[in-house]
Amino acid sequence: MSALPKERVALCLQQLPPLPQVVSELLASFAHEDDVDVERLAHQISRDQAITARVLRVANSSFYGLQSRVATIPDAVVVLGFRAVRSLVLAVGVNCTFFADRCRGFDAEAYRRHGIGTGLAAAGLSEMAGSNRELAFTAGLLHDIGQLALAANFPMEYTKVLDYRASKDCSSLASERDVMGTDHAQVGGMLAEIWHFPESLRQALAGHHEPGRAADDSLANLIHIADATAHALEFSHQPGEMVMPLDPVAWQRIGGDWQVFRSVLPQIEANFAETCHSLLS
Amino acid sequence: MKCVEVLATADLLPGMVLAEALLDEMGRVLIPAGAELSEKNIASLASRDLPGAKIERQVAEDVQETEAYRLVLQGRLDHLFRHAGSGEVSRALYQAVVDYRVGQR
Repeated sequence: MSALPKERVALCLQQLPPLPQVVSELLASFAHEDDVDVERLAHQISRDQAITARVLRVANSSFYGLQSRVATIPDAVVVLGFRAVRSLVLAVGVNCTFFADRCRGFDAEAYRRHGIGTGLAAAGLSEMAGSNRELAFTAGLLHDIGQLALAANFPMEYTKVLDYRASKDCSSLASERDVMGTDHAQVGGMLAEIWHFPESLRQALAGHHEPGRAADDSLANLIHIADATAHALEFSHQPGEMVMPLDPVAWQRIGGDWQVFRSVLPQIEANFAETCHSLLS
Repeated sequence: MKCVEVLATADLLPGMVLAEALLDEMGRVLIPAGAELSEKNIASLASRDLPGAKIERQVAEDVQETEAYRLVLQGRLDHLFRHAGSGEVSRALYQAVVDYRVGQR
């Protein structure tokens, strides 16, 4: 099978349209947390109507359990906090950048369902892991963005990956490597660099399949476990869905405790339907 | 033992308990999960053309039924975990999901 030269993939990614201005500014704000002009950013988010509408829908869903509805982004910032609104805007803004509708066989709905499931699992397990809940949610939502980027930019090649995967019953990572010579974790890492994602997010995207090679406190550890949890709860509804071997090092690094784990599963599933409804339609 | 089923709006009866929140087309909660349906609720669902609702009910525990459910569940999870290997953490995840699903019933 002819592999796609890595350079061609990199070149194509570099030519992608830039992220919406407000998304880039929000990403940059991770680097200077103590000095963020929240009011200015809130107004800037409000100018993007598509993003605002979706963010308010999620903010008013039961995931946040608000007593009263929020109607504007500045209200949402007051009630939910800047960090929560930021992670929602990033999730909505980045996932809307790619359209994989030209890639036959790519199930965009299943991709998003699995992303949301992983985001909720990561948020649910974040306290046990000692991670920032909002960052964990964003990282989970975006962890497979490399798949979406490959399917959107190399639709014919990615259809071959999907056919190969179905015929061999192997993982998406193995089929991408065999057919295209690259994989979605590598592409996710490249995207994170091109778009100047914060380092913790970059590590989660690039390292979630090989957390053993990441640092002890890397978000890749939590996302590795959240990814497997979302597959085990069958959020994507795909017939070929599979759980890959869990890395015991990642489990140990996030302070894994099966009793705590079992106690968060009901909440993850309870939040799933509504979060999907808010983010997908 | 709790049992969850999806019923068409026409089959809903007052007093039934919602297993999942009912949302309108904007994603707003009409009736929260765990709420008991009233006649007024059901009429309002019908007027909104909502197709149905997920209902939970308490049914007497049947040991044989639980065992049968466990076997079906394990078959499904065996397929899902077919490449997950026999590592301790992978097996513990499998077991945690079995316990959770059986406990949900």
